[in-house]
Amino acid sequence: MIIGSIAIIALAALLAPWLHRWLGWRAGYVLALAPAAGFVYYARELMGVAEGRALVSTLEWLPELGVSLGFRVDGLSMLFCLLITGIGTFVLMYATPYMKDYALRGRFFSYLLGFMGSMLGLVVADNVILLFIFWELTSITSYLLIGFDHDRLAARKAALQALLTTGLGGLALLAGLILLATAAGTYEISRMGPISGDHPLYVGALVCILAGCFTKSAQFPFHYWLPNAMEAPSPVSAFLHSSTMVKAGVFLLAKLNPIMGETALWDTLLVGFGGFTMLFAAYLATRKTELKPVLAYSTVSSLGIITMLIGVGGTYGTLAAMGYLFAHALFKAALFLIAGIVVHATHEKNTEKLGGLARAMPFTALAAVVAGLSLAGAPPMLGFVGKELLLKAGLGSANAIPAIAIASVTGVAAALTVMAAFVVVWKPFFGRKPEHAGHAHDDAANNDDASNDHGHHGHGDHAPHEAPFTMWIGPITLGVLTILGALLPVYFVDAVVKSAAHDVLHNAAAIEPVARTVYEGTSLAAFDMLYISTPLLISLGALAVGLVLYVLRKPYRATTELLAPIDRVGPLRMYHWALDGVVALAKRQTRFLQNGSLPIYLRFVVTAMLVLVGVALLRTGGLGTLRNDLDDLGIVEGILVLMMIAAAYATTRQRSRLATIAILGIVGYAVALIFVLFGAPDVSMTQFAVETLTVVLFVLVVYHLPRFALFSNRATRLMDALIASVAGLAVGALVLASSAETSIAPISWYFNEHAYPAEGDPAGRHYAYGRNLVNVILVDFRSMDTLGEITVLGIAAIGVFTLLRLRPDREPFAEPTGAATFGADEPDHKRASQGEGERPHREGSA
Amino acid sequence: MSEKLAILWPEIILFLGTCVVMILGLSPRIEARKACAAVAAIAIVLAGIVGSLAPSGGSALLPELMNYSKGLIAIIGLLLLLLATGTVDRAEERAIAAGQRTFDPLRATRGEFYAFFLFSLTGLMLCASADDLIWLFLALELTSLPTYVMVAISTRGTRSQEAGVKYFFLGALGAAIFLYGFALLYGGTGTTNLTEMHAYFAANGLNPIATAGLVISIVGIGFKIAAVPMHFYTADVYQGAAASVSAFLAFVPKTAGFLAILAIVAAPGWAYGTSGESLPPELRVTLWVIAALTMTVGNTLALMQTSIKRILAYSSIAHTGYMLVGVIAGPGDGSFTQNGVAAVLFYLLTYGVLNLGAFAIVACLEHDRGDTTEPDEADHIDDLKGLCRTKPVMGWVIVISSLGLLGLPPLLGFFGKVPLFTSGIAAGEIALVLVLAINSAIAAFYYLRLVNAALLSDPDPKGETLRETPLPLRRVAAVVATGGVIVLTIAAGGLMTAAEQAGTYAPMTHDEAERYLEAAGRASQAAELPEAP
Repeated sequence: MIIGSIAIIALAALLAPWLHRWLGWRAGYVLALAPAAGFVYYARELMGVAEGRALVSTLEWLPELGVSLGFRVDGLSMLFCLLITGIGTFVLMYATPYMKDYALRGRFFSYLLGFMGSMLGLVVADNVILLFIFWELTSITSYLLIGFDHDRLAARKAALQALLTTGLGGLALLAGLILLATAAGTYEISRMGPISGDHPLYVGALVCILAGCFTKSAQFPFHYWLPNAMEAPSPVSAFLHSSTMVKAGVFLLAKLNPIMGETALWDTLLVGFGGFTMLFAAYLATRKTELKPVLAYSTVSSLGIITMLIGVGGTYGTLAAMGYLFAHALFKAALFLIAGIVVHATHEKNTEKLGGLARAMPFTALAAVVAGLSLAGAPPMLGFVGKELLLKAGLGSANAIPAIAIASVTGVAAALTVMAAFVVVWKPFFGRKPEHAGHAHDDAANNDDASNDHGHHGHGDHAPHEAPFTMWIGPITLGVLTILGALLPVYFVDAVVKSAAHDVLHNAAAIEPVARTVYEGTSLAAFDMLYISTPLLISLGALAVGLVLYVLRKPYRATTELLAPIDRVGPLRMYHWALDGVVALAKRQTRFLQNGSLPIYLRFVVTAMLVLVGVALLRTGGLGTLRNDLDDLGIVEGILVLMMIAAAYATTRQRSRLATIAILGIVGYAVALIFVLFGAPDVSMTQFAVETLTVVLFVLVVYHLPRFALFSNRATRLMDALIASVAGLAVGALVLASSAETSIAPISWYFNEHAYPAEGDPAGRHYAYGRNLVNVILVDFRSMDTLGEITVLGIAAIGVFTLLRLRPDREPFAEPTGAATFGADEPDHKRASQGEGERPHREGSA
Repeated sequence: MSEKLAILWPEIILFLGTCVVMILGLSPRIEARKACAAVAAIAIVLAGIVGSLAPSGGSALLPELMNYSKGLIAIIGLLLLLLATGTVDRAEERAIAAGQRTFDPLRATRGEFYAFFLFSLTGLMLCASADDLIWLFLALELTSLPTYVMVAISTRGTRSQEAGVKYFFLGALGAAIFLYGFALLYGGTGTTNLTEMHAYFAANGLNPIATAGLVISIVGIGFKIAAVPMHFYTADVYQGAAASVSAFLAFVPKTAGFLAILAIVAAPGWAYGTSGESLPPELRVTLWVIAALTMTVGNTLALMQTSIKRILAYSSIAHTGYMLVGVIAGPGDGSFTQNGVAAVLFYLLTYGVLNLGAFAIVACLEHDRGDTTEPDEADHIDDLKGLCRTKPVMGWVIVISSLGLLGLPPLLGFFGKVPLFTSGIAAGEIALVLVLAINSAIAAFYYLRLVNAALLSDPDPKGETLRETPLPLRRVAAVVATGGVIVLTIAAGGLMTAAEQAGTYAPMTHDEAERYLEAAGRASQAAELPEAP
């Protein structure tokens, strides 16, 4: 059934384009049935899971790789399943009228449902590789959804930025998960025991996994992608970028908490990064004036809170983390949906130009007030409960980071969040609309951004009006849930949040099972929080300070503007720097190395080989002994060697190809002579034959080519000479060293022994029965070589014949079809390889 | 001799096929010439069947490598043949059919083309059964030499000829380099037999000559697999050749090179040293540097390209770098997740299928420029714009192949990459695995450009001349490769088991090596006379 819940959503994703063709824009309502069915299923299983009976389903898939379709729904997963399917249903209902005017809405729903299925798979997967597969699928569907409006450059850029950031993090995560699985000895999360911080793989696994989780959940320094991702249509922002996908990172942290969370390093990193993100993003949120950016930064801040709370740990910390996570998903999704309604209706995103919408849109306003109160953490909302627990956990933290620091930072962040809540809720609905603010289209500076949510709609100027029922029902329901959850926390919320918190603390197999009643004494009811205590005082203080900040927002913004230069050195800068760096590297490589010029390739190959060999030899401690009995060399050998050197030098000075080939022939013949001198007449004969044939073939092929042209200057020629000399010396040294190696018997000894039976040789040995050693070698020991050589010579002769028949002056084989150019490279060497205006020849086939 | 013959039946079948095809191609009857492709296909299928069923043999160090490789070669080879059919003499044959020209055996290239195709596959299969350096050299060159000609004759443009010359020249340089390396290996160990060489290393350790020989061999074979510093030719040659031949180049020489590198690296082995746990440090450093540079260079160069073939060429360099991670990791404890050799062998399969699908797009789309004899391949990235809407089959082929090459889960490429990750981590190469991870992210840039163009962009109004190739087999190849990606994604388990088995490594201990050398008469110079082979 777990698989069924994913499959039905995946099926809906596949059918979405067809349904839209058949049913028109209302198809979205039908599609919403898929997550609704999933929600019903999970809601029915909730009590069982809350009592500790996790849903499990496993299918074999790729056992060799340790991948199974292992699914497991425990309390933590259940929390997410309900959020995904529940909010998902509302988002689909909302998106149906919202996307009415988009031509490609079938595809949009396909992506959205595809994401939903992937996200559901992510939270129920028990196998780490399976989890990673779904993890990446959420990244790619998020990419498609952010870039859905692909006509706009900003959307494409934001989509790529989000994908690259989360994708790179994802690959780190893969490495981390594999390290973790290696350390734990299993790929199933439910079978992993706690891993001690002393394990050699622990730190590597931790760093990689945190990199993955922090990029996904937009923690500092990877927070930059989330606000830019708001280029996506509002339903996407509400669903992916506030309530579900960005929570995947904190989900995984919570999931791994019982396995990896026992160390001070884990606590410190989570509290440190989470706390800083919470404060920094809350500050950034107050600097923005447009609806969605304010909400986006406040989402980053909330994710920071949850990360921090997982790090704080303990009963209160974990309960607060899950409670706040649940509350945040509800109210932030509602707020994004409301922001979409507002922008849809008014074509205006800047809160300073909005006001008094409550009269025109009463239902939306009601939903906004409820959700906004929750965001601000005002009683009696679930957001308030979450914040109270958070402060309690912070004050009672026995962490490496002092409790007082956590509490005070939380207090400041809370105040800033209150201000943000006023900006996004109070100002548009109840604030005063400035007289001069015209329509967004009149505002040139705003034009580009404002086209985001209504670029495809051809509305004229008319008064804002209430959105259709299906659009405001979602925000209202979610908002009301945040009140009910805090007022009557006995059934639904209690079970969800407490069993999730329980599993975050105690879900590892190797941990002593702890009674699930541990939270019985902890109330989630808002009224139980309303006694005079430090957390309540901080909460009320934050509300007051936030209100003051909102009233004084103009001077506040002017003051913080002075801090703006800090933004320019932020992590976004790093992202662009890395991106530009890669591109610059690519350009430089293309220009200097990959430019289509053979001499440059050759230079690089030889140099690289020398370096690699040199490094390897330096590590082994040099070449050992070189052969030094060179005094025995006779005069003839000396002359031959000098001839070869002179010929090699002469080839570099020649402008004529024919002459070069002829001179090269000298080297070959000299080598053949050396073979004769050192008693290898058979090899020598082969060498003569091959050399002759080579020269003949070369002449036939090269005859029609022009003379060498000189493309290089003196400096490059000198450098080439240097590289060539070093390479030659190195090769020579290696030969001397290897011939000094005396531990190897020369092969001539074997031929000698096996040519003809002599006195006293052992019987039963195979003999060639020939007294002439050269003959025996040619026809016996190396008969296959001889056969091969004969064949080669025969084929070469046929080649010569064919070349003679196909000489270009008889009939051209190929009509030149224009100059050859190699795309991105600048081929100024081009003429060198083709001949100047000459007809091309079939050199390659020689 | 006879036991060697027993494992060579696949190669013999391919060789016979080669001879038949070469003669058929010269026939004046069009029916006979048309039979070339069919004969080649039959030879490949037979060789594949015989090759995978044959008794295991080849190298004693990697005893199970041969059968898996031959089966793999036959499968991908058959797909490549589907893609390559009709590449060379379409215009010529059309002219003959129209009666504008008469058939001239001297100018016919069809028989040659298929013959070279089969020759190259023969060489590749020989690489899989090599246990001797001389054998290996001949096999590698038999793989490569035909490809030089295939490049040059693949299209009638001058570009192909330039590409052919460039390829030949650098190929000859590469061959010279690794031949020199092989010679040094012989000089350092006194044998060309890889098993005996392994015994020598296990008993006596590496000496400087052999070390230099190993490094130089690997640099030279780097040409076949397109690794730094021998990677330069890749883009120029892939772009100059017809797409079907480029697909061939991206798989056949690369596989040959990896089989050769595995065979050579297995000689000192992954159980080198007293602790018996890793590669010799010098070799490891060399491979490490080459792997890291190769991935990075390939991926960064691919970013700037607008030609699909160039993008795929650079990406093929990057994939070489990924696979080298598996070579460095080595067989580990032999289980699939730890066995780098198995990871390489499995990756070759996934890369072969995915790469074929990607190149097939370029082979399948062409610009019809009126009545010119040979239509241009649609090689520009803009040609892909809106393909999913205008030509849905072709569009989804490139989307799935690109995403697969990117390694996006749950597609096949991902399952190819995971064992590289796991084996690398198991071997303690965490830094290299991180380089691999970062590179995979960079690769997303250019693969997603292909996907973007096909899936998200609007059709290019200039693309009116774009049409699908009239050659049906090419489209079959594209669709089969893409279908294979999906089927193998679901049912990769059996192939993973096969790869795991194929990656079996059987090293000798120090004592076994000494006994082996003694039996071979190599314990010392004054030993008993050896038996004749």
